[in-house]
Amino acid sequence: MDKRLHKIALIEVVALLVVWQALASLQWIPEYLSSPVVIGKELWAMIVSGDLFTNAAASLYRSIIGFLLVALIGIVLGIAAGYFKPIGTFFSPIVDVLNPVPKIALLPILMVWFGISDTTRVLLIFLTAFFPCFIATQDGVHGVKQVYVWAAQNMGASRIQILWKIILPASLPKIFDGLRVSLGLTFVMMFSSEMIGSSNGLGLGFMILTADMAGRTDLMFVSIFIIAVLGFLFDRILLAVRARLLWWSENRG
Amino acid sequence: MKKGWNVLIQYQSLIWIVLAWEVIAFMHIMPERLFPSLTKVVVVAFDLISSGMLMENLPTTLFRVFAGFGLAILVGVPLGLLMSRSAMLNDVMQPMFSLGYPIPRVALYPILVFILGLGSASKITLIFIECLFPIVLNTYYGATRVGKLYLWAGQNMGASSSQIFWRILLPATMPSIFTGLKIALPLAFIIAVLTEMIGSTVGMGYLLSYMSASLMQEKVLAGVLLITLVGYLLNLLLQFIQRKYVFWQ
Repeated sequence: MDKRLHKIALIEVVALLVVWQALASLQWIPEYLSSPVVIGKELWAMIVSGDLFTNAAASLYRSIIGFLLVALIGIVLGIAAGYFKPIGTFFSPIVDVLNPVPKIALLPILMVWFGISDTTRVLLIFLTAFFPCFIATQDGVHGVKQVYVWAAQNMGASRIQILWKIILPASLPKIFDGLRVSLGLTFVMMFSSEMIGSSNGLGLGFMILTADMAGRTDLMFVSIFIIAVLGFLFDRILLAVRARLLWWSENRG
Repeated sequence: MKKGWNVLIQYQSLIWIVLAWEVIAFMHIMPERLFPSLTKVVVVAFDLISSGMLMENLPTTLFRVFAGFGLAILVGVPLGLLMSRSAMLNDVMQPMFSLGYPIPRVALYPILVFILGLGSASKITLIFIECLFPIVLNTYYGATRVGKLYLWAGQNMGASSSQIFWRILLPATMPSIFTGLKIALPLAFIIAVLTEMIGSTVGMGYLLSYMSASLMQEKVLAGVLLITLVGYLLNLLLQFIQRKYVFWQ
């Protein structure tokens, strides 16, 4: 997004808030839709009391562990499957069968096996977000021009060197495409797994659930707002890392 | 014989998983109630089908998936194409999609329930919103990448703008549109099951949460198996349609 689009985005968000506030002040929309001012006050109250940070930290902890596991295992396995043909053929039927499974359906089973715990949630996040990362990485390795590999071989590079110095950097753009999808899914699953079962009473999804049961829509909007901001922020961080690592590439996002 | 062996080798990983599963179940490493054998799960899956439990719940879920997914196609594809043609529309819409892309839209579900109730309407709306993103973005980027030469050639040969749209722009964008659809379809399915698990009285997600609340573990697994099967078949259907209508790719 260039600067101009940033400006337009800002105008749109402000316009939305103003219209929303106006409609709420005129009582043209039902009261349960709150108003930006009320939501803002609630947000401030939650920041002051610190509730916001404990809940956000609990959620972030789960998602970040899940995401790091996905990135680590997904990239390593993806490169192995892309580079070594037997490993690729070994994994391809598993991916074909498991990728389209709605992993959220496994939540009840995981809950019985591991309890309503962070293990369950991290596992669910991992299962969902793993496939985009793995598939994109494998794709990326397959897309590396064979000429590069030959050139390196001719110059006497070892297999490890080829993997580390050629295959990995050359497939990084694709890997980041996959990671971006995985990151989005991580947040979705963090929220969903908390909505369905939370026992320690912490987490943004759980906050929405309790607010829902108490009929506190202002609190609900605050949680939604925080999830949105965090999702957005982490996406930007990923894009920044990508731009840094891929300084040599046109495809910097 | 040789061919059969090759297929076996190709799918060996699946066979290993099934075998490992059966061995663990057989040796009672985990309590049988928690970890039923696959054969038992398959038997239960057939029970679910024949008892009519599937027929009571699957059509509702499929209806929600198709309604949300269909609406997203109807709105998303024209919107993406128009955005690629009109700079003004693109200026208005692009920031919304870029801003909204990393935001987990599911978080909106409780609000949608407040507005539209716990019935199908709130679920279809959420599926629609979720599917709209990949469809619009893929269509838009696909359309902007259509070679300018084709469009110029069309104009030079005197094609009207509607002809250019139907004969050049739309067909050339088709492969990208299908990429978007392929991402969106599983999403639609996931959101349908998820929202039904949170709150519903009918549907596959409801069936799963009901069965897991009653600790019928083998039935939950059977339900997951059936959902997987349906998702797989829908994906095949999409691939079939793509091969039939985008045959030149």
